[in-house]
Amino acid sequence: MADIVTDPEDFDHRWLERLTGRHRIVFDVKTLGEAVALRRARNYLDAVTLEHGAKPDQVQAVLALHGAAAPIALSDAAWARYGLGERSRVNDPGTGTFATRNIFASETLGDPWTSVAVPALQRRGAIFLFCNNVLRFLSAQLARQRNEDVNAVRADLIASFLPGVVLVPAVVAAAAMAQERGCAYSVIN
Amino acid sequence: MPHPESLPPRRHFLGTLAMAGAALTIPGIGAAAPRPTRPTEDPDDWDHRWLERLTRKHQLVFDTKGLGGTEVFGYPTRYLDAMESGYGAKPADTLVVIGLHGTAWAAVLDDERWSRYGIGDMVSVTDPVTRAPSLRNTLRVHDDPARPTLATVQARGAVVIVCNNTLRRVSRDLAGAESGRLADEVYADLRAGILPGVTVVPAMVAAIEMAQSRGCSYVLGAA
Repeated sequence: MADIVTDPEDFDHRWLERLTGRHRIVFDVKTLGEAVALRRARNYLDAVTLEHGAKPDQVQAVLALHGAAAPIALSDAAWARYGLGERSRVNDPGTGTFATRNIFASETLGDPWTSVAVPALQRRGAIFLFCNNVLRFLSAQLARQRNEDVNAVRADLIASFLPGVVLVPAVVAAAAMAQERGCAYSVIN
Repeated sequence: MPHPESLPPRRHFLGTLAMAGAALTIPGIGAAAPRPTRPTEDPDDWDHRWLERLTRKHQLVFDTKGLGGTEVFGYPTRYLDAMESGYGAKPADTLVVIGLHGTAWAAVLDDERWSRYGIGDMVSVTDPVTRAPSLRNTLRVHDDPARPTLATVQARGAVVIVCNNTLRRVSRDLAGAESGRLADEVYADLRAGILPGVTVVPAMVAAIEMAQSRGCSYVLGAA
């Protein structure tokens, strides 16, 4: 594998300082299927606010994406350019073929996950993390398949993060750091 | 019943046990190995000193139910690497606890037991040299020095614990469900084959709670 340049400056740790809500949880998300992580996060936010009576601004969910879940955090353009729908076996309900856009971020009327789409959850305070180890793996694999420079692919993927998505050194470490700051922990795999 | 020679190693071993009957002495067990007169779950059997090591600023327990192929020690290694390079933590401030149960017990048995019980066949680990089910523990040390192993994580201070309930279950499976005495012999042999520096805990579910009570974060490890 070609060397991949990781600059410590790539990492922005300020998300940790935002973990001040009275109720907070980090979801260790390894799977994409049927938007289970997004729905689980929504259910958590709903239950703690509606059933347990917490104020919305006192409830925080962190979704730490790695493994197969990483494409949740990428733009439509990246989904189209890198064939992420086919790679992840995700169909676009509009066309019935492999998605060439990120349906997990779509709030377009008629799309399946609009109420739990990434921007919808972000407006409720959710923080999305993207694992650098997955980024390294994905960059190397895509670069090899496309005969492109691995660092160029990596930079393009970072540029393709949805607004607000944070690159972390490793989800395993980020999940631990979140717990050090009082988050509960739940696995979605 | 198939001829034992046509069976894979573990079944061959069990087939040998079945034919030998109750009077069997397992090779390597008996006169040469201490044999418990009763199950060894005596409070004095447990070494809880690993809990006293949980005093670091950053500490994480891995609930590890499987070998993840051969990635069982890769995940803790990536945590240690990320804490150091990504978060600027000093190695002396960081500690991992690797809790092995499910099928992950195999990672902490010595080569002798891997060979005797055909563990490579049981847990689907292939020897990179023979390309056959491994008869040695390549998770302890590997021919590829870059691969995270038990040895490399222990060198970085990892606390490695294995579940006694799992060892009991595996002993029963290896001995055959109806043979209590033989299961005790297999259990004693497995205990004798636990690699140095590894602690047997009464139950992983309790150990994980105790680790968290002492300030560990928690993640689901290899499956």
